[in-house]
Amino acid sequence: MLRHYLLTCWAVYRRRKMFTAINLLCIVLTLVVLLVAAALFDFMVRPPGSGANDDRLLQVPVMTWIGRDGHSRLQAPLGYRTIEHHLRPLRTVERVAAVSQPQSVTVQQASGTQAMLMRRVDADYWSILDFRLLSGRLPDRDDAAQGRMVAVLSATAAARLFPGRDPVNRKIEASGQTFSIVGVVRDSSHSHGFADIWAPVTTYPSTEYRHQASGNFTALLLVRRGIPLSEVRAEVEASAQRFVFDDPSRWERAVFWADTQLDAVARNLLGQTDTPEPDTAVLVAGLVVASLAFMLMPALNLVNLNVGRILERSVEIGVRKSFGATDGQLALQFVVENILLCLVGGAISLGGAWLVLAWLERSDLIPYFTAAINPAVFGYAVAASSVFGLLSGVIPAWRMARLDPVHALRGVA
Amino acid sequence: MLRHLSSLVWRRKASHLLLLLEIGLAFVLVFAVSAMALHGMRLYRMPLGFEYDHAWSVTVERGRLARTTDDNVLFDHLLRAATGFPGVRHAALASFAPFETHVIITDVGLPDGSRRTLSNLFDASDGFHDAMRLRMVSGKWFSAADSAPGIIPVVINRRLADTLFPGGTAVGKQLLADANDPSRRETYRVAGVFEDYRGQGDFRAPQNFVIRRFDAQRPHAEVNALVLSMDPGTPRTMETTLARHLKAVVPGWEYRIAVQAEARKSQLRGVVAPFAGLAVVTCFLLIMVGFGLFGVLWQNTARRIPELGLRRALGATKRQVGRQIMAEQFLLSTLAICIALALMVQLPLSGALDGILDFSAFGMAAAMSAGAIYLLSFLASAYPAWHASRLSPTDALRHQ
Repeated sequence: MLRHYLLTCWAVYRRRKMFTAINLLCIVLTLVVLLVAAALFDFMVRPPGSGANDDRLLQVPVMTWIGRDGHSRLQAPLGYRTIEHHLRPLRTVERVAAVSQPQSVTVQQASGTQAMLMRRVDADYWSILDFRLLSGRLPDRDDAAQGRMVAVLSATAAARLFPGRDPVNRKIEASGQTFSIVGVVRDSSHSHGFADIWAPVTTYPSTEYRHQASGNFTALLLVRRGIPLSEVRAEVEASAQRFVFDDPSRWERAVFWADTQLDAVARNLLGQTDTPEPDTAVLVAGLVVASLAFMLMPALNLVNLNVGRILERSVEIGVRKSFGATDGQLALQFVVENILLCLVGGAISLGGAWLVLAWLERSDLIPYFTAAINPAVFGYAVAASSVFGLLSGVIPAWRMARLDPVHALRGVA
Repeated sequence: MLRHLSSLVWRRKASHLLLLLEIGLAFVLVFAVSAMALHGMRLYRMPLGFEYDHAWSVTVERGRLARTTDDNVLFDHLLRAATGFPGVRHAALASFAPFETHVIITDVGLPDGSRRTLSNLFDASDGFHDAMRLRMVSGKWFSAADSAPGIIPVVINRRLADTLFPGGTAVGKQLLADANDPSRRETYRVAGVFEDYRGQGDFRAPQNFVIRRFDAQRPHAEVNALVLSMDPGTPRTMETTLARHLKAVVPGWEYRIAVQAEARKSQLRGVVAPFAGLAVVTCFLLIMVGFGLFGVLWQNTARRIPELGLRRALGATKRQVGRQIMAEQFLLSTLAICIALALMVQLPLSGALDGILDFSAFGMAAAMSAGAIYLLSFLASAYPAWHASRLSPTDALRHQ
């Protein structure tokens, strides 16, 4: 029976090739847009580069100070002191890394200056995020402890600064300091990974950063194996309550939370900066509703096209009805046909989305962006195609099923 | 003729309803995009109020937020160091470098508490108007001569002066800021009025502006950047020398030097890129609607071959038949546009998008999107209409 449906479907779609092509074009245009959006979101939520540690990686990107007057709020990335005092001693985490936000520095060369992004990181950073070493070595604890002026370059930065030469053991001058290059790593596109230059945190010109409660650091926490994330969150929250202010007359308390990447994205997009757990469910639901809303107009378009196509099949419908096919069977048949077409469109769109993403990667609009069609995006493509097929197939199918067999047989709808 | 066509469209209202909905939605979409584009263009054409050629800015990153009065003394040292630097014509301290989107907003009003309005608040040193080449309207830029105990000298932009002192002169008058909060309340004296300073960039709507005189001894002064006007032809390599020079004054801070014209370019890119993405997606949707209309019209004319054949047999010319198909489509588009307009005219009427969508912008956007929809209707109906007009009456009448 199913084989029969498929053959009918194939025959119908081949009969009017131009309309099938128009239908497919509409489906592909819609799904490409949705797939690119899905791949971008997936890139934000699950950036490549955290490797095997992905499911036990938490981050503390920002803290909020709440004033005694009841309405003052101050939001800032963490200072190094806060990470040392409040996060490193935690019992539920295996390792804690401090990484500064990427800062724009000018790198001085004989050929001129180049603007580059630089991060200062501690030694644990290299073992928490997954970096692929291309040449040389990574800075170790000894480099950090001694405050050696060493730096690591990304492959892209190495190619820009030393085209065609091995940068290891060469020197660069960045933001008025001289670093010697010890290693080159493959480009990272993790939101706390991407940079052109990484240097140990101890290479700051002054030691002032050690005493700062708020600064420009993010803490990355690697949770101990077997410990649930909720326990870590509770410990971090409790640790924030022990926060001591330099200026206790002005500030009442500080809050910060350990977030997964999805939490951090939801916090940013929803602006929920001072709730312990952001509403990730609201974010996901909002995105699903947005996808459906975006599909609305293309779906209407397909409905209009399909209504016409069905009327062309009135003779077939009339015959099937007079031999006893029910309305439901006919409607189901049409919806299935439409979903099949949408799945074919979905397959083509995967290719289209891949092209768009490849173009985005090369265009450098987002620094170190690398998105790929991974299983999650593929699953979204299948789901979106099916929903789209359902949305655009139900109304024509209903109208088809309601055709009066007497008129339908005569071919007059 | 029009009545006849209308009744033809009305007869098949059930199948036209979905088509109407689709055209209407397409119209709303194009309307939204063109209204955004028009708004952006209008802001882009407005003068910035300052000049960014041959100007650099230095953003100082202190790596922490808590500010001490010592910081302002250090900023004063930086200003002196920058003023003496070769190639620098004028240097000044500012709250934020131009083409950055940080703002501080406060409310200001007359000393008696009336006419309170929201305004941007900014701190700048005495040479700011020279470094940014601002145009004064009346009065003078503040200087050391204006300082008085308990009163902060300020300059305000023309927009704020017109709001607070309509028809009168603002120079020499006093203002009260943050009247509600006793711990932050401040009294200002207006030293001068300048034309405008749209430091946040081309796409920000003009706003009220108060610039306070920077004084290293005043606790609440908030400066983070140096702005410099340079001799034309100063090479970019001087940036590193300047950074080193500043680093020698305050070693613990980071200095991010930007050429203002380039900061503007990268800001423009940042605004235009997402909009371009939106425009591309809209074009996709429009193409889709065009193909959909084409398909529907094609099917409709195919089903109406007997009717059209009859018209030909009764003496209608080819051209008249073709015109009928196109006219019906235009009638349908017009109906959809009218319904959509009737709904959307509520936006300027209710003032929900005040300052973005007034009646002239509404009219322009409506005209642009109606043009796009009519063009689409024309393109989609041209071939089916031509095809219908080519039918020979005998074939058409025998067609089943």
